[in-house]
Amino acid sequence: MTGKKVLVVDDEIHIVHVVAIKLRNNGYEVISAENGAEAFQVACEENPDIIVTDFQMPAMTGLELVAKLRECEQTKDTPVILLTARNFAVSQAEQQRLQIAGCLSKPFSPRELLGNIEDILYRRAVSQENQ
Amino acid sequence: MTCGDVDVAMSQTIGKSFRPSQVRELKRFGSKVNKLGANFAIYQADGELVLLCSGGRFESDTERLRREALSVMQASETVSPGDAPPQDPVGAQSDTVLATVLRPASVINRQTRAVGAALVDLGEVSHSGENRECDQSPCGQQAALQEILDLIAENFHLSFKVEQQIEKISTELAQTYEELVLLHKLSTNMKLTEADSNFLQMACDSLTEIVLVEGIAILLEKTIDAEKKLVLAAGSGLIDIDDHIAVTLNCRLVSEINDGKEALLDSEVDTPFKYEWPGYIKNIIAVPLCGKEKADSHFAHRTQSGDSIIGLMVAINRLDKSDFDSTDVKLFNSVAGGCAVFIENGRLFNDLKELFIGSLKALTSSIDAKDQYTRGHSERVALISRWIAERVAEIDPLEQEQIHKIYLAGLLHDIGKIGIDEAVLRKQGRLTDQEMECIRRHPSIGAGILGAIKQMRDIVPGVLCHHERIDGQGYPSGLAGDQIPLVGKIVGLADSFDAMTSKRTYREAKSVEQAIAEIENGLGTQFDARIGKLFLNSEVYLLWDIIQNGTCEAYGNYDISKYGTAAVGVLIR
Repeated sequence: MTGKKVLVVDDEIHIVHVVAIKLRNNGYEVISAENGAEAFQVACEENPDIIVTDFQMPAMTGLELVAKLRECEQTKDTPVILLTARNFAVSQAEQQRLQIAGCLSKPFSPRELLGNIEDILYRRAVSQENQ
Repeated sequence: MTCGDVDVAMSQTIGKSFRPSQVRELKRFGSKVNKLGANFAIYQADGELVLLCSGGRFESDTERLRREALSVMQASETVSPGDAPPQDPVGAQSDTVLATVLRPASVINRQTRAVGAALVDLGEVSHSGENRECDQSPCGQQAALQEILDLIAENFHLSFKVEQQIEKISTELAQTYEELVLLHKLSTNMKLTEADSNFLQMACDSLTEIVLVEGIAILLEKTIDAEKKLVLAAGSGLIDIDDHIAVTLNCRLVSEINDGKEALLDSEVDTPFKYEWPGYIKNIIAVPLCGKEKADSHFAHRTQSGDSIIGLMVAINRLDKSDFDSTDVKLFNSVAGGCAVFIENGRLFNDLKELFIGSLKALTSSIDAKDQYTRGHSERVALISRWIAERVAEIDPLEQEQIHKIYLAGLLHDIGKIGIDEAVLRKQGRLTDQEMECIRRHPSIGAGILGAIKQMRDIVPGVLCHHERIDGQGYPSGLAGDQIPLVGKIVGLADSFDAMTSKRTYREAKSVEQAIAEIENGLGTQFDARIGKLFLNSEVYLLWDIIQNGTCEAYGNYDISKYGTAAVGVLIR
């Protein structure tokens, strides 16, 4: 899975750093955005393999960002992992509707996030091979 | 203004010496230099071009720039390796090319090699007046550019430093998150339903996931053949603890703790080993599991807080660092503390259950003892009730919890006899109607006694209904058919079977065959036909064996003496 591109979106810059370090150390290319609008633009330009986004951000929430990504041809299938604060649980139905690949509540284990990303990308690679 | 070659060069060099963010930053400087009519170039340490920003006024000779870059880097290595990077000498350079060395900042070690060089190419200075947009002498322009170049080097150094610090802090934050999640996981899994070994194994596994070590183990004090020993309770990775090492470890840990330390830490990184260890141990950490173990324990060494050491957690050979440190001590102590609390809670709960079932058995057997013919009756009925309940569970959905409750109803079914005159209970020969009336009150009295205890409410129906008959001829309420709760039917049958096979004042004990025949006759009248048949079709002789001997190896791997302890668990929880 090395060389895959991950877009990390969070207005809390320390979260971006924590995630970026863990992923870079494991061979991923990391790009980042600090808000939903920027993230959408970066996602369209850079075409990341997977997006990790915070749920609660000013202006555009993580869910709104995902909804927007799903409407765009280029990003409609890009897997998304949502980082949530405990009070903002996202229902199973909502996750399914927006094809959210995973949800982690803060403070999350960076190791677990890495594991999730590897799982998702692996399953994706296998299913693409099968097609 | 264009920055030719930049993108091509960037894509080739990313990840070698410069990060994309650094190249972007340097590119910004390049465009400023371009405005002054000069070209700007960055070479990395091996002489490869990283970035060339050309103002378009002239073409730079990249071969010449490369030579300049290499020579300025070489000069800086030999001249002043110990100097702080910003003060680096600009280096020898020709009239028209200015150069400076770019150094990363190392937080730990200031003496670092150059990662590259930044160069300003002034081109053909002064020949044509047309490019003299600024009213500067060549000398003045050169000085200004030199200042810019120095600023670039300093900025590069600082940004490197900042990035390194961010990386370090982020790595630490990430580790803190891992530790937080681990401790959270431990505390949410601290349920009494979890077996000790599962919980301890989870603690070891979780710890090895975030602390890179060769092996982790938890040793607990256990009594084996009347001898106290520290035995392996859980472990991850490669760790081999034999009895000898276990004892040594424990002694050393205790002596460290008596010295006021929180853990046993040993390695030969800063100082030689404090203790002697087997060769495969390069560094080691051990922390105690503290609890309130009884004072007679062989291993129980009191710590200063008054607790005793009931076990220990040990890890050997840290893989990503040279040895264990104080951060590890805190994390290991937190995890070991959680494990100790879990074990202690489990022990306390088990003590509570044993005390409770012991009291119940003492109470029921004191009632049985009123009459020499009913000695041990209650415990036998409990056992038979459980046996029947298990046969029912093979066919109908019946939870383990229900089986436990049926066992307890069997044990307590005659508790109401405590309120019956002993003279009536012991009377030999036929009872008068009045005496019969008196005896028939025991189910209601028993239900009344237990009903007052909140936790016993589920046991009441079995006690109240164990003398009801399926044909409605029983007492106290004359319930018929399915008006009688399942537990009442089961305990009633168990009570009858034990009564038949026991000696009475007025008759000898019946044989199992006779009892079976009698139950068969009573199906549909005294006994529920379905449950009666389930019982008769079971291995009644095996049950008989269990009743006679108290144990039976063939009957599952469950220790019958522990039935009660497990059963009362459902009342307390």
